[in-house]
Amino acid sequence: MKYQQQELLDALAVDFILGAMKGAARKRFQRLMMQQPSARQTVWRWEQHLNPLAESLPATAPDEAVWQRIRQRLGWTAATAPVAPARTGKYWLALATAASLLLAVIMLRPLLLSPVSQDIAVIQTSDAKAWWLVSKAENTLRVKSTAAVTDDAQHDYELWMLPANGQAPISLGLLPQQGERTLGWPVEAEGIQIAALAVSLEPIGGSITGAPSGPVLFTAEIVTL
Amino acid sequence: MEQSQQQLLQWLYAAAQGNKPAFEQLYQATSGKLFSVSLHLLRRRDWAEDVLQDAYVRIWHNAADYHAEKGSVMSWMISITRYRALDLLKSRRVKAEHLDISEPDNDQSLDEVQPGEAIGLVREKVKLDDCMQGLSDEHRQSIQLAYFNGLSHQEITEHTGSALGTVKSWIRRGLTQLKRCLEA
Repeated sequence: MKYQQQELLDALAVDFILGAMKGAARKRFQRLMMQQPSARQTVWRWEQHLNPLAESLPATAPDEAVWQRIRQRLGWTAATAPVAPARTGKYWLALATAASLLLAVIMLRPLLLSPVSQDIAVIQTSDAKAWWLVSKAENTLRVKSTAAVTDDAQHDYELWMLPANGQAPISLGLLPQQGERTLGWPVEAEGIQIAALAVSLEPIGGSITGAPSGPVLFTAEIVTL
Repeated sequence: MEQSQQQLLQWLYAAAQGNKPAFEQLYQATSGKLFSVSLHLLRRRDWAEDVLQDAYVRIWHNAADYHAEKGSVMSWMISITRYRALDLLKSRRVKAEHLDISEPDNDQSLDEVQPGEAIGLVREKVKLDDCMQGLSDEHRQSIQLAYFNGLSHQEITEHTGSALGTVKSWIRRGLTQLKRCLEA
């Protein structure tokens, strides 16, 4: 039987995984996977080969509402509301209604109270309008957007670290267009001296090449407090 | 920040036993990556969010069906998300309308080391990067377009300006070479 030839199975598995196999052919192959262990093992092996590609994508935090809808669909809504994930949302809702003086104080609070040294950067336009406030403590990067950010539903703003040694920029993740976001400091950026930060305009989800692929809109220097 | 395969596995096992807090931790640790996967394929936040919901509902219900032969936990979850996204893409049949992919970059940018957070796929990722670097530019780019953006062979021809047969053989040959390198 032709299907038993591994080479053919490889080709079919790859077409199945990439989505190039459609319609009736896709259904036939799904049936084959159920019947024949070698078919499903081939698919699993190729998934393991190809899925690490997704590792190069910067993580994009989904809306808090997504988790709530998943809970609803799983019928968990009767359970008590989760404590941790709701915090950020409420925090910012409160901020939005607060007076601007209060806003300033709250924004400074993490900087004033933090016992460890902190790096901060303000990403601003050429006419000195601040778009994001970036602060880094240990391995966590907190990014707050300001109202000045121009919403762009077609693109994402991606933050990059430019190493002082001239190495290629390292992606730090996607910047929020509203509210704030916490980003992890990538392992490959650990221990590397930072020359500056840069922001590029990228397709939704960020650059897939691992390097800035759209125009670089901003650069900013880092100040250590 | 790094979530090891071991940690993800613990959460998944617990979720398979009905442990809701463990499932929430799994969600918090992995949803950013899966959302990116979904966004890249669909290029619309609302659709990408629908897919993400479907994927996690499925992960919860199928947690007990996971086993190591299916790959790392992260790889298994990425597959669930990708297949759901590919289904949606097919049913909406509007790929061409919302495609917004910049022209193929010059070659250096593709040659850069690809950064990314580490979530349970790190070792495989390093090897895959090495092997991807060994491919010719055309082979690598066609594989990336098909994998990340869900482009059909036909759509890749529009993107690269090459003939259909050429694109098919780029992907086929590129993946054969990739397999040889990965399984070496």
